[in-house]
Amino acid sequence: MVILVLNCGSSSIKYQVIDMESASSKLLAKGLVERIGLAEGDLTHKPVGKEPFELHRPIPDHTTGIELVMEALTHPVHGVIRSLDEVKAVGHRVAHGGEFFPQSCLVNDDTKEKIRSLCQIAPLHNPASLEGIRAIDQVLPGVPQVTVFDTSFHQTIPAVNYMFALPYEYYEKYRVRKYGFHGTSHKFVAREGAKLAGLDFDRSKIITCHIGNGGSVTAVLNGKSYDTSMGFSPLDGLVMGTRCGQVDASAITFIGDKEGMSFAELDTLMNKKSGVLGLTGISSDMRDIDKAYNEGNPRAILARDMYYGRIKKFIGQYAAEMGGVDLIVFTGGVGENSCEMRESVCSGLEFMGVKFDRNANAGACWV
Amino acid sequence: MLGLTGISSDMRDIDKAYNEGNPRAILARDMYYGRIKKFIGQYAAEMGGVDLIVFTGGVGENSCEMRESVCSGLEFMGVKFDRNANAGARGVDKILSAADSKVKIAVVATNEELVIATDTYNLVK
Repeated sequence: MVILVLNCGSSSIKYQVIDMESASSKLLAKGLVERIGLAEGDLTHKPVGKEPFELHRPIPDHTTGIELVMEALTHPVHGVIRSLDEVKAVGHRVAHGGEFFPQSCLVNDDTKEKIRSLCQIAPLHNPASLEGIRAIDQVLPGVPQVTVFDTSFHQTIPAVNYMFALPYEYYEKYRVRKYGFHGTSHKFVAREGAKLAGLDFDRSKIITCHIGNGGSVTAVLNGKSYDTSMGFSPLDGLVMGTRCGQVDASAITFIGDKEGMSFAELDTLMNKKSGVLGLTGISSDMRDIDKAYNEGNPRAILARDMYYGRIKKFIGQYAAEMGGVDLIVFTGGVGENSCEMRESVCSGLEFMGVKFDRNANAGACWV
Repeated sequence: MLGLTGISSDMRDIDKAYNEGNPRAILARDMYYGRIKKFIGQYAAEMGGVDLIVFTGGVGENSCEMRESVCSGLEFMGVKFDRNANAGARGVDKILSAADSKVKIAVVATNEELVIATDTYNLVK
């Protein structure tokens, strides 16, 4: 059964086509549509075993983007399926499922309405997912769609860990609380990590570190999410590429007041201008920061030390919350490729039973 | 505590409501205790371990429940709490860890005024 997986951003569509019934869930193709709604857009299509294909033209909306993806997938030269009929289902990554979706869900009118109602607390993410669902309704009518939420895995977090110490009425009125994100990834790597480490997943204490452009750490207790570092939005927790992570909220209100910023401007400040980019003025990409670090740039050294240090802080915190830890898993673009990060984060944790193998770590690095 | 419960900002009032089974007092107190424990774990990781945990302040010097709750579950990092030493320890300086605990635990009455007087004395004498 061939499934199309979509991850829609406000001006992008990331896709993969997977044959679920082949021997090992075979990837057939993947690609990226970018700059939807801008003067000129791009489609980059990578069929497995064939030459990649690129297209540059205006792509006014997500429906047009999906149509172009379908054309690429069924193309005689760079296609991977013979007709659209072969796509039996579409799975969508949706950032925010709120408290409505503790699990993945078949899409119906009720699902769409709930996702739409969540646009209020996820204005940067959910509207794009709805665009993707509507586009598939048009381009692949009748094909079942499933929504898989970044937040679902974290719906098992207990109130003591998800509530903020704010007046209770804001939880009641607006459902302001910690939600957590990257849930699909944390769940996957916790389970795979347990297999790799020979642990009984349902009776274990695992800390998963998904460190990519965004990053978060999760405490997985007996197979369920128990706490996580992102919060009401993906802003909280770790120092990231452009996000500040954990910060005293009063520093934000002070800056906003002093600089005469609107709430929208403050939001942009915290989400797009902060993190390692904000600290260094160089880049949001850790490879650029590594380069500057190695050149002795003091702000790159500070930013990288903060970035690594904060991951270690969450490991200590979650070990204390769970009464110990059996397994620490690293994943994500930086987690899978940065030897320095993993070594730094795991150093000094011998007091809680961590013994890092530098040889095993070396070579599992940036290519 | 006040915002979460609507009752009071004073832990003694929260303890009372907690013992009466008030759900929001239970949530608030669990969060209050839990967050202290989180910082202990975090700072132990930052420092590469911990030798001594000290409790002080109005609640730190007087709440046996808080100290016991915060120190529970930290055996994995060498903490062995002595419930007997902790019981009734109010407004005294005392060791609360078991004799064979790798991590020592203490309650110490704070005295900021003495520090201020000392600094003042040293600067004016």
